[in-house]
Amino acid sequence: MEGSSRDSICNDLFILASDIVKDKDSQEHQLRTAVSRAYYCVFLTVRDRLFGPDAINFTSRKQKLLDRKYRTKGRPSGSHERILVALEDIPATAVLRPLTLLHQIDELKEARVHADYDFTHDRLKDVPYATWTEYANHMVALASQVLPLARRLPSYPS
Amino acid sequence: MVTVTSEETINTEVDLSVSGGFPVNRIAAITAHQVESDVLVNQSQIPYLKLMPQFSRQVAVLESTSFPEITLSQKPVGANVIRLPGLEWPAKNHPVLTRQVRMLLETLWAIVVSRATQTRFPIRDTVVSIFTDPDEKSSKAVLRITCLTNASQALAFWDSIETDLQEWLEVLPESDRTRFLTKISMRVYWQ
Repeated sequence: MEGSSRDSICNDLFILASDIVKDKDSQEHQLRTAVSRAYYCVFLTVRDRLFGPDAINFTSRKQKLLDRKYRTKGRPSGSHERILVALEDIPATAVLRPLTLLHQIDELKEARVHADYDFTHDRLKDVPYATWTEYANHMVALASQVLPLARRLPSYPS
Repeated sequence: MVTVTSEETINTEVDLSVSGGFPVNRIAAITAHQVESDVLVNQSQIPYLKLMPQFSRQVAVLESTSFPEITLSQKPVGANVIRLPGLEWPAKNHPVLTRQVRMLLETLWAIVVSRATQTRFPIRDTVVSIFTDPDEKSSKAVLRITCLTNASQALAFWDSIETDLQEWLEVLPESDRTRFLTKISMRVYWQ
C-alpha cells in the first residue's frame, strides 16, 4: 500500500471531527468518533514533528533516555505517554508553551479514552459536560487551538 | 470556598510552612484586589500557606507581578468581587495521592488561583480527581479547573500560566519535577 502525506491525513482527521460536531443530527457514536479523531490528529502531529513520520526517529536510544528521565519504563509498547513526555524537553518560546501543550493534549487523551471505552456514570462523572455534543464540541475546539502549535514543534534534540 | 482578605498590599512578608526536604517555592502573590467573602480568613488559611506544627517555618517574601491599583477603602461589591474556589478532593485516599503529590497539587492550585486573581479570571471550582488510562496502565491526579468564561478566554488563561509553571519547576528537586510531569495533570474547562 502506498504511504500518505501525514500532514494531509492529520488535517483530514480534524476536518472529519469538525464536520461531525457541526452536524446537529450527529449521534453519540459519531460524536465519540469526533472526540477520538480530535485527539489522534493532535497526537500524530506531535509524534511526527518530534520523531519523524511514524516516529521513525524514536530510536531505542532515545526511548531509553526518556524512560530513564521520566520513569516511563515498563509502559506498554505503543504507549503514547512515552512520546508525549518528550514535549517537556522542548524549550518554551513566545509561541510554544510545552507544559501547557502537554496538559492540553493530556485532556484530549483523556477524552479519547472516555469516548472509546466509557459508558457508565462512574467512569464519566469527572467530565464536566452534560452531553456528548457539548463534550465533542469542546474537545474539537481545544484540538483546533492545539494543532497549529503542534505543527510548529521542532524535532526532538538528538 | 476559600476566601482572602486583601488589606495588605503586595510584597507582603508571610510565613510559609516547609518540610525538611522541600524548598520554599516562589509563587506570585495572590492579590491586592478586594475579595468578598461570607467568612473572612487571613492568608495563613490558604492551603499552601497552611501552618503545620511539625514543619519549621520560614519567612518568605511573596513576589508579585504588577496589576492595576484598586481603592481598598470600600467594601467590595459587584465587579470588584473576586471569589476564590477552595480545592476539593473527592478521592483523597487514592494511592496516586501520596503526600508529595498532594503538596505539588496544592502548589499548582495556588499558582493557578494566584494568576486568576491577578487577572480577575473567574474560576468556578477547582477539583482534584484521578484519571486512570487503561492503555497506559497508569493513573494520574488531575487538577480540574472550571471557569465562567468562553473558550478563547479560558485558553488564553491556560497559556498565561506557563511561565509560572516553568519557574516553579526550575526550583523543584528532580524527583518532584518528574513526579509533577508524570503523576499530575491539569484541565481547564469553559462554558
